[in-house]
Amino acid sequence: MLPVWIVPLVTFASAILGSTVAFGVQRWRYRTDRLAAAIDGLCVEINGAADKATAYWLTEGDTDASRSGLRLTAFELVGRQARIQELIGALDIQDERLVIADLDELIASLIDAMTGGDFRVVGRAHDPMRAAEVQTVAARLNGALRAGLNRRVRQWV
Amino acid sequence: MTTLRVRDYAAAPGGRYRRDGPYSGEEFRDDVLVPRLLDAVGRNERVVVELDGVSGYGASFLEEVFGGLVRKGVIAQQDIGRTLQVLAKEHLFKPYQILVERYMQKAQADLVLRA
Repeated sequence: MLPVWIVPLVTFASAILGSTVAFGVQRWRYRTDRLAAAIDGLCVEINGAADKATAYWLTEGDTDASRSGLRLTAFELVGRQARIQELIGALDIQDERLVIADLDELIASLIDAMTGGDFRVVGRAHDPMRAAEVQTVAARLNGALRAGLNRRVRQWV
Repeated sequence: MTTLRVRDYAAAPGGRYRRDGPYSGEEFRDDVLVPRLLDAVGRNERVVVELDGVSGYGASFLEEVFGGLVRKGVIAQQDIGRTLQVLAKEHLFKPYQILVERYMQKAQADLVLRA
């Protein structure tokens, strides 16, 4: 015959165990969802910057009309570079265990593709190679971020 | 050791060439960096260039400054590593430091190919 107190004890212990597991799962889920949302936002920012840079590099810079537009876009591109870097910095703070392979190298490549070459050179010719390169590097960065997220999601803590 | 902060000369770095507007890479290289480097070589010192604190770089600015420094042959290639150090203390500016290293290596490789 079991002692009378065993039933409430087991019930209580089960409730504690169940709620602890549920808390752990919810915490993991919350972290994962927040991280996924942050990476989604970052990818949108990267792709927007890449599209703007592509338009910049496909525009000839030898007319007055295009020059004024290019001048504005040049400032926007430098700003977008900074925004992407700041968002990556925020991601680092949000989840210190997130590891993105070759992140600094990829960011450097994106910056080079966006604002290297004849960037801000008055009267420069259009540069389809650079326009294509921006898209390629942005795609690689998207892939690296998603891969990093997938690796992180598989970790419980 | 001499420390050269880019932000002291160009808080908002511009384009590649002087004709592209103020605070260009060409202007920074020829008017600020080269005189400091030549002075440092004469005194057997090192110049440290700090990239931090500006409002953002176009990569063409950095290429013209550091790649151009190698291309122009202002100081002997073997002296560049000993005389010049480029630093980014903040994480935000680390990719620019990587770019500077790439540009200098590429300019050196191009010189070797041409020779």
